[in-house]
Amino acid sequence: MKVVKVSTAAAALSDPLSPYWSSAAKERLSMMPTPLAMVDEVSPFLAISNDHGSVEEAEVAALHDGRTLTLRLSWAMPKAADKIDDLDRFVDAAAVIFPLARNASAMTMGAKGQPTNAWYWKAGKPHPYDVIAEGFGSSQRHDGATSSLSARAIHADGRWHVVFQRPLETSRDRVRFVPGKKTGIAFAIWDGRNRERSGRKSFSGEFIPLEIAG
Amino acid sequence: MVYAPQGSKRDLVKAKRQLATVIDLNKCMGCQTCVVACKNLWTVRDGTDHMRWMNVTTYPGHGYPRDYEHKGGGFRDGEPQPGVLTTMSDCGDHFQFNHDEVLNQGKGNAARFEPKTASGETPSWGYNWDEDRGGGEWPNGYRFYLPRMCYHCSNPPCLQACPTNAIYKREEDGIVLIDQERCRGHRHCVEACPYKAIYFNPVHETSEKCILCFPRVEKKIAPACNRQCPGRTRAFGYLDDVESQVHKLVRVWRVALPLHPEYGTEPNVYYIPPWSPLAYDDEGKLTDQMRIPVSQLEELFGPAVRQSLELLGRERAKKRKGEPSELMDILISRVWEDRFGGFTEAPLEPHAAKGGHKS
Repeated sequence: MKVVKVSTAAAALSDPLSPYWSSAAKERLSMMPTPLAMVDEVSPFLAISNDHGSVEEAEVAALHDGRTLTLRLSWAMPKAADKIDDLDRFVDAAAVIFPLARNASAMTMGAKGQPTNAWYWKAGKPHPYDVIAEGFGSSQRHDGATSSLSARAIHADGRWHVVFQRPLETSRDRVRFVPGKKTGIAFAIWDGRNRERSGRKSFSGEFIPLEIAG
Repeated sequence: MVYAPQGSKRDLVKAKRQLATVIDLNKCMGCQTCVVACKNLWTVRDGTDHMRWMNVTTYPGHGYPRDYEHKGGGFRDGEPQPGVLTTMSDCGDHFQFNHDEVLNQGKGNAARFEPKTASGETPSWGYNWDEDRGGGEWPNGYRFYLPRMCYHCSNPPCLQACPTNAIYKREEDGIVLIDQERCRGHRHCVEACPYKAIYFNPVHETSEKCILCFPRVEKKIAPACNRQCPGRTRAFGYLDDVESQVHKLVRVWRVALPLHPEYGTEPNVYYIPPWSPLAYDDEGKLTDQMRIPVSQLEELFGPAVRQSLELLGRERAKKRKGEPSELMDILISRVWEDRFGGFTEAPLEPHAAKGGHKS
């Protein structure tokens, strides 16, 4: 997947319904339910889940202007779930995950000594979370504002559109985007109405290469 | 078992000591004092109004949260069982009343108290909605009260279910706690608990439950529910303390039984089963049969309930004949402090209370 270089102002691109997005090159993602049997050591109860992962497809486009990386993730969701209006309700959410070590696996959210960094948007929350994980069960959430990570989301015509933005350069313990270089990327989406949260989600599989245009 | 943070759930270790409670169902009168004691101490915060960590409902009945016995969780043959979540309605909601309309608007009898749920609807269920309904047919109706709270299990499914390792069991006393900093509100613990003793706080988006009053326990003050019970139904202490009533009732006399042992969680609250009132025959004469079907008590406490009831019957008969019975002396509880296994400190320094006091 390529992060295209553009000259459009990052501020204009932060609108998920900006006309720019209709012409931007999009990557089709095939999403599948996370195979939860592998989390048995972390939660034998989560491991027996089998009715999660309702979202099967998503679209993503990513670009940068030399300073800010903007990524828009979009998927079909007939009705938005953006409020916890009973004790058994969950909201829609999405995450983009990057490796912080060469061999980190997206499937396990990294491992001890092989961290990953994810951007986690939850419907109804004003800011996204910046998550560092060395394997599932070890996630640490930070307020996105501390790394200038922002997200804007709109639900329109039966689809969610979420735009993440973050400066290319940031502190060492977060993913860095260097024009001309490669990293990896993977995605997760939670259908709140289907009671999806934690490992109960759709994901795009193992990291795919992400090329930052020079 | 104790979970070591960052460790595998396979590395669980047994707690060194275990605090336990025994509740005598022959004496519980459903006064709800224990419920109010807990509520006033712990669940008047934002997002906790619907929580009744300590709750007392009528059996037979739907229990609390509503129909918790049919919401899955726990283990079967050692295997984790899927569970479902409870709703605000299941948890008895937090009714709002039209006090101003009834009391201050001069409408007299034209205005009545009408509860609305916290979300403004007319309630179709509430805490103790089926209070005192019970079972059976007149003149052989029957019911008893069942006080329930988190059982601080020795094989806690909540701890195993939590994917963020927010739940831990203290080695020194077996209290199971949810770390509110680590909890992400995923609520797998709520699904996993077969007793539905965990409650979601929608304001903080975390899950909460009975903490066994650990700030009191650490100062040798008994948990509020245990200490406040005016019926003297409660015993409390370390299970391994041979001097304590909990040890004698659970380990020696074996008359106190866990609820639904088949859930496989090794709960640490034990019940003295209710010795039922006797049934009338068709001519209105008292028989020697129990009104509460033993099969129903077996469903709740397992087959061991039969021996428990027989033992109670034998010991009661001894007392009736003027013979000594250590078991009956324990259960009669003449000396209130004897019940608390050394946790006999008072929560307040003796001084004139100014108004509003904690217990």
